[in-house]
Amino acid sequence: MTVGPSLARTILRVIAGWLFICLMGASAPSRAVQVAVVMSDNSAPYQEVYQAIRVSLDDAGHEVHRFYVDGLTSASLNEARLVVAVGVRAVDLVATLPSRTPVLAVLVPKAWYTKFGRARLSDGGRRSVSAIYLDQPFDRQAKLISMAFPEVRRVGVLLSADQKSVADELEESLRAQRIGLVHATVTEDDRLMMPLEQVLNESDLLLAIPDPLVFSRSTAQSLFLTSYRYRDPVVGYSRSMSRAGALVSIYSTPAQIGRQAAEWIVSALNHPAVRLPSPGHPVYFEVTINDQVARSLGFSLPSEAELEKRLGGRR
Amino acid sequence: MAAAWGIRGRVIGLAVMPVAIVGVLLLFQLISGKIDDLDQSLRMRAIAIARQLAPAAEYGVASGNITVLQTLLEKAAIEPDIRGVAVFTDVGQRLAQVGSGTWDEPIQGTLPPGRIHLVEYPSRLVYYAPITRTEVVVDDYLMVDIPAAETGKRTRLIGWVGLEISRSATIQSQRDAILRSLGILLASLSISLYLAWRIGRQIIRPILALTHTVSRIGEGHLDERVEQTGQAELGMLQRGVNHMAAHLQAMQDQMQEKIDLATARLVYQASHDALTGLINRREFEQRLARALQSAMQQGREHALCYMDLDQFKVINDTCGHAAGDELLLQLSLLLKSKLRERDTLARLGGDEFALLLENCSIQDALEVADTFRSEVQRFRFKWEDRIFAVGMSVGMVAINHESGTAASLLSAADAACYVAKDRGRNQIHLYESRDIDLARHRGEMQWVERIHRALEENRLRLSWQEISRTNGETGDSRHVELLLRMKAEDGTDVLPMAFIPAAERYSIMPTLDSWVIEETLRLCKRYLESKRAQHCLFAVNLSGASLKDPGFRRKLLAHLEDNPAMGPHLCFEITETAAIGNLGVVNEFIDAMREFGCSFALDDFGSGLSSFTYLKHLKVDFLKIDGAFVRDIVKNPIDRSMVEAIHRIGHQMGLQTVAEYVESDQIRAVLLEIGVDFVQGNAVHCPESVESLCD
Repeated sequence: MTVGPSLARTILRVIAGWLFICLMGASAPSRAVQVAVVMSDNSAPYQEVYQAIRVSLDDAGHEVHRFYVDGLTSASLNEARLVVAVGVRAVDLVATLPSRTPVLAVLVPKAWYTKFGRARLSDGGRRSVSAIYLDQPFDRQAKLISMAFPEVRRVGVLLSADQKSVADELEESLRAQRIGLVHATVTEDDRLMMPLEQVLNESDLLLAIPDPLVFSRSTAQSLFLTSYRYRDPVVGYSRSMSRAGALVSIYSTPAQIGRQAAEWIVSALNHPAVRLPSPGHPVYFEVTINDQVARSLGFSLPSEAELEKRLGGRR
Repeated sequence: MAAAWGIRGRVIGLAVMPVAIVGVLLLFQLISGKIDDLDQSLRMRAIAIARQLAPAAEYGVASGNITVLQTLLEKAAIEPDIRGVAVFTDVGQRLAQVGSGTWDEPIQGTLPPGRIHLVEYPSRLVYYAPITRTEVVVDDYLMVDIPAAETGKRTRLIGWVGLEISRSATIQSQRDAILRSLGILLASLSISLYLAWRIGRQIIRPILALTHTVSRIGEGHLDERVEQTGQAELGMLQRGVNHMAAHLQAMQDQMQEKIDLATARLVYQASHDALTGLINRREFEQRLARALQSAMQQGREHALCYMDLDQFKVINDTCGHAAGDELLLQLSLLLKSKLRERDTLARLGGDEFALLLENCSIQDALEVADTFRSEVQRFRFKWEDRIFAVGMSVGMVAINHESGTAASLLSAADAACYVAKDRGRNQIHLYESRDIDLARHRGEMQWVERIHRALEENRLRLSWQEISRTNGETGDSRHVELLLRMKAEDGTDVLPMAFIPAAERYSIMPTLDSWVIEETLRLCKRYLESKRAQHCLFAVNLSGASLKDPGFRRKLLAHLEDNPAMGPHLCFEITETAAIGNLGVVNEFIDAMREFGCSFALDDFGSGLSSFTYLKHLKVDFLKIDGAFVRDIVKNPIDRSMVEAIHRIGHQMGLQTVAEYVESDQIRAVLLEIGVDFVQGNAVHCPESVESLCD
């Protein structure tokens, strides 16, 4: 019996991997580095992110120091080889510090980061920066709509004037799924109903985009009720939205983002010069379905796990 | 009636007042509670509707969906009492309205958000409930650091729900409740009033009957009775009142009987003499006046007799008043039996009687009076073991058209009676206007005044007369009798015989005796002061009246206590009549005086109802034999025997005897022969002025 070349390759890879791990494990103590996690405050989502990062980095043998925006000085970050800024305020503060330590921004909306955050952090290219966005990629959302609502042809979106540019990006993603986009712009005077009804009139589904001028605690009820009256399902971006009336929601939890951040950090620290990947959307996510809303509107959806799986979700 | 109304009013008040008070309070409580409840429930209902309407309208307001709101409001307006309901935006723009309403407040924008507002009007209530956004969580975690997140925190108020509630139904139902309650109160008060009136009448009717009866009884209708209507307290009261009335009536009857009896007795006593049962002076005077009137007017003839008993005084004095009374009673019965039908016999007082003979001529009257006199003469009065003969002196006066007054008639009859007495008693004297005896009597009557005047003008004098021993021996003591004399206005002497009877008759004797005693004591004092060797015994006469007078006795004792030396020089002469009439008193007097050494003599012994028995009991020293026996002793052997007997008995009793009225030496000789101790009289010594005694 002879051993096939593929088997031999596999064995070699295993040995090489084992050796690599052994080398890494042997050299780790001598190469231990400090990572500073700067948080906007000590509220639960930020802590969740920190805990996820710490657990992973502890396993990798790195030191993790936790800082809050209040009382943070440039000297605090001197020892750190990498700074993780959790939240918009943390990013804004870190950007003001003279330190050239690379910064990874997490829990930041993509729109904000691309418009303000990146420029402020990179300081004209003198600092290496990257980010994991809070929002889900439009492709994923378009795919979810396509899988959950095969009948839907037109998706409605309400956008504030600031996010108007998002419409093209979204339309492109939807088009890939052969779905049209109907969008309306919400003006500052808080008159949601007219654009909403206009959008609902023309579309089969309302996709909620994170935008405080559109979806907020006070507008949500009216939005849900109106869409309900139009018998249009709402696709939300958080577990809370599913509970409030969105038929289905897709989102990443802080722990999932923290987990992704930790993976990026470990990977980056393996290089003598820390190199962060390009900013991107979260890779880990969840799907939640409100069965009651589904029953009310007469939709029958695949299960949450099924949808996650089909969307390429990783556990 | 005022009291009756008072009770009725009180009973009714008692029954109605609690009902009224409780009723009014309950009514007040009920109405206020009911009104409060109605109002409260209206408000609660309104608030509930507004509170429910506000969130329901949220979507309509937020979405600007007027149709949704209109439907909502129409459903809400179905509720009763809702006049109007409307929805406004937060800036006061009215989105929808059902019914009527003014809705000023949301338009003015004056309502602060956050709570339900109430605007009250008299007839309506307007509520405004804020419509707020319902918050729904859309983010799993709060992105505090996302810049645009702040915008979601803007005001939650999006509009107002206006609700206008009519209070007219509530007010109407309040009014109904008040009217109903008032009606019930009035009805219950009326029933209470009626019941109280009925009960009050049941209580009051018997009370009124009782009141009426009691006031009738009070007015004196003691035969009034109250009808017995019940057995309870009122029944007892009715019985009690009836019993009381019956008792009062019985008592009144008894009392009336007693009063009638007493009145009759008084009437009888007023007109009758208590002792004899004959009519008295007062009644007699009235009858006399009537008779006189008939004589004057009709020319009739009547006769009036004034009758005085002879010897009554003696019987009264010797046997006591009881005997005197018995004598008067027996004589009255005797005389009454002799009366003709039309004759009137009266007792005027003492032993004086009057007889009115109507329609009777003087001749007939004399006959009748004589019959009476002779009846009395025949009558014998028996007292204990003694028998007395009594006489009657009668003065008569004719009553005819010439007669004066009743008083003058009585006076004339009295005077005639006196004359009859004066003429020897036991006879009838017919009054004639020119009667000499009557004139003398009237002259004597003037003595009373003359005596008083003599006392005032000091015209009384004392004379003295020697009482000598019969054998002529003088010895170491002398014995004189002091005699009272009165100087007449013309200076002549008046003898005692002239004025003593008048003095005795008109009770002047104690005054005269006092004067005599005073003078005697003064004389005695002078005599003692003159320090004569010879002892002198001054004898003075004391009348019966003085003996009985305690004042006189006290005065005498006081004198003797001041001058005890005088006692042995005093000798009191008392008459046997005075002594016998008051034996006890006289003996007491004698004892008291003897303490001072005074001596006593029994005067005029033998002239009256001389009794040797009494002599035994009188503690006297001298026995003075009455002059009547002595005067004719020489010629009359009986008188001599009497004197001898008296003397012998006196001696036997240890008394010294004195013979009065010794007018001649022959008499003195006889008395000496008999052995009489002392003699007194003109043959012995003529009375002379006391001045000569002390000189």
